[in-house]
Amino acid sequence: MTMFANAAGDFLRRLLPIVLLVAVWWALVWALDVPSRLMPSPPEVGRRIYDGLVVTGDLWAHLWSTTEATLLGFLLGGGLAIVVGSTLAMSRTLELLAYPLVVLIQSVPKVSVAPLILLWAGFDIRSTVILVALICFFPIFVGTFVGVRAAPPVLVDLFSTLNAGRFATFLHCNLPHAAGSIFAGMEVGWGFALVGCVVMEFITGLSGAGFLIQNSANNLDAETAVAAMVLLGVLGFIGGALLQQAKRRLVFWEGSARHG
Amino acid sequence: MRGSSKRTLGLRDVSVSYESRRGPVLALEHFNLEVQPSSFVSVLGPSGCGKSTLVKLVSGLLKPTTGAVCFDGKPAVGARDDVGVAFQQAALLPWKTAMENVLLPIRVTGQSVQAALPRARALLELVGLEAFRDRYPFELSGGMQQRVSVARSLIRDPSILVMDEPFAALDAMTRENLMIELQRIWQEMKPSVLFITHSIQEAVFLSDRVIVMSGRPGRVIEDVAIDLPRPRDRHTLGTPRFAELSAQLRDMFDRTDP
Repeated sequence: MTMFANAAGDFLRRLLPIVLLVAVWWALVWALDVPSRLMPSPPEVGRRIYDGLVVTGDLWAHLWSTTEATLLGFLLGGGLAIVVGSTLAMSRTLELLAYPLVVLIQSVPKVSVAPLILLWAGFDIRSTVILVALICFFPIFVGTFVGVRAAPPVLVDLFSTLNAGRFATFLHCNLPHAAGSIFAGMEVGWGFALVGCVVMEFITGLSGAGFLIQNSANNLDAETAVAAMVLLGVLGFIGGALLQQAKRRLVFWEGSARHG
Repeated sequence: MRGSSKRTLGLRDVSVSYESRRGPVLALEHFNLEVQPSSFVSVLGPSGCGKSTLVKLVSGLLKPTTGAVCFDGKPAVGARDDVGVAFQQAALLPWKTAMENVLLPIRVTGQSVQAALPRARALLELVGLEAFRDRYPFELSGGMQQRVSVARSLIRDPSILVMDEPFAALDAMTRENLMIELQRIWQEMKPSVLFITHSIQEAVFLSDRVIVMSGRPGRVIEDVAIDLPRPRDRHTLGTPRFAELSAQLRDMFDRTDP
């Protein structure tokens, strides 16, 4: 594949599935003669996004509101997940006490708690942040727990022979070793976080991409609904790409040949 | 860099048994060993003779079921700052440079890293890696990684260095080079070394004494003094006395492994 040998080619190759998807979408809408109030064509959605971001700017407030709530909830839930995951992984006693509880909470679909959260926290960004935090907690918790536990026995032995305390062992051995796994959890968690945010925006109907989708679908404005979906996709993609970039820098030793 | 206080390591009538799925296993039985200060003692034995149990005992990872591990005659509890350990794998932290890895024992015990810097530099020089001190383990060859591991085990100026088949994972050429280098390092630093190996060549080349262990449960069956003059070099490997000692150990070794 000499054609795709350089960086530009690599970028094009990544873009190819998206281009194909848009082409199929366009072809179907055209071939089946779908009315645009049910499913708009790609140029119609493109124009709506352009209008909303450049001409009238009405999409920015919603986009920002979704970004803010998702980011805050992600930081809160992710932070808690890393702390709780590390603590349970480092202490057998706490693991025995708390792990079943975490699994129990995980078996309840988080979305089903959304109306209750609304009842407790009110029609406010707080409700959205709490649901987002709750929903992205588990993948990051599991990533942390598994990663911290997976430290090679020979390294753990080494730290024992050095008379290192449990916290020093965690800080210098288990935590860095878990970094790759924590990032994997965060990548999954970011997707979950967006789901939580949109669900809460459906319910509260205050603002955000979720509100926009709900509201415009009710008003037979499919163009705006699909435009909001596309923007959500972009948000998910940017978050994932930033996390991957951060992982590559911070966990630079993984994927390199010849491990210690 | 020579340390001031050298200790005598003693294992007094040590037995270790542990539970396994097939019932209790006796890993070591009535094991007696004395390592004089600054001497190089190898332990040679068939696989499963309790060699790794021995490493765990001396490095404080394991308590004897009966008997005691003593330093200068006093029974020891737990890991000690004056014991350095080099494992079979280099066991380096992949996110730390060679220098940071050498300094790890200082850092994790909250001692002053600044004060230990000159010593860490000197140790990297001693193992021939001063030019590689800012490299990460994945940028180093297996032999280089093992040298970093040796430098790390020496950073706290141990009076006893325990080495658990440190060259077993390396290729033959690298092993021979490191073997010669380890002798040089030992002659410079003079810690007592307890060297666990299943290589007769390594044992004869490096040691003042070679302890031959029986199969499980592990016991001392021979204690052979190696009288080859030092410093030993590549030519030593070809001398008749070297061959004679090797053959003698080979015979004992074979008897332990029916």
